[in-house]
Amino acid sequence: MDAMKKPSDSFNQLRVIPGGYVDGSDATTIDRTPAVVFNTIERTTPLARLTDNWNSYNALQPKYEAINGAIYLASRLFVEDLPEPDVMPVPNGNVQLEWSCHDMYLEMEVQSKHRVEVFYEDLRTQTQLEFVITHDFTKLSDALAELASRSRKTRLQVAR
Amino acid sequence: MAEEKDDDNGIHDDCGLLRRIPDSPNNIVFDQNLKRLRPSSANFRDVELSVDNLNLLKEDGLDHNYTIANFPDYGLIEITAGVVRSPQSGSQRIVTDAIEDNPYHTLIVGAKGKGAANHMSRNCKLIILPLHQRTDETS
Repeated sequence: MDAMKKPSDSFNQLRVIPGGYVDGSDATTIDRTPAVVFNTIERTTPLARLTDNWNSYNALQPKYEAINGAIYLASRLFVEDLPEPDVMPVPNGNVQLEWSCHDMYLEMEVQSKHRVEVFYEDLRTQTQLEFVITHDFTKLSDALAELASRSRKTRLQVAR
Repeated sequence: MAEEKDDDNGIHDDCGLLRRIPDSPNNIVFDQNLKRLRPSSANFRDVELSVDNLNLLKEDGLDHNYTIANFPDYGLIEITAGVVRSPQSGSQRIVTDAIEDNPYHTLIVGAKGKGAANHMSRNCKLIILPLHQRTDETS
């Protein structure tokens, strides 16, 4: 059949773009990765170019484990409608992902994909939490889901 | 070591403490809750956080420009000693720590959990923006 293509040809026409869409005339698969994941990765990887003393106060170069961990966790935990985080180096070599919106403060300081310090403050409920995660990411996932939910509600209200 | 020293009560709570903020992306963030720019809490995590004592600078006829004299691309923030010493900031100690090339050098000493660092980041004053965030109005 003329329309039949070898799998490799079809694959080469697929192009994942921010927003989670796939561009390709024969595309039959849609990548559902949220755009926030792509954008977070894009903001995180340049931190690898920083060198020691990047802040003029003897800060350490961001560690490979921290950069890799931030990318890994964004890929695993970030959901649709989650606002894009600010991404910054921490002087101790960690990487921080930070949100300050929708009456919430949420900070993930990533040392590696197995160790994350979290600060969470909800201005609506006056709840403030600080915890370290090493294996169970449930509490962090819940906080991210709440932030995404508020973001979605705001977007829908604006659209009305 | 500075960690063994007591809080310098000669530094009054209204004294300004200055710290440079590097000109790399996102060290200054837009806080949508406060509706203004502020430094990221990541700038306040060092157990011994270096700052300059603004009162000492003024006594010598100097000002905040001293702190960024050799760092034209950097931003600058000011935080008061009172905020730093507050329980919400983790009851930090402020220790005069003059060094050879900076007689105004001071340390904010103490463990800074994420909540304490976040509190300091929300309660300091942005004096100068880093170069890439300056506009005609702010420069």
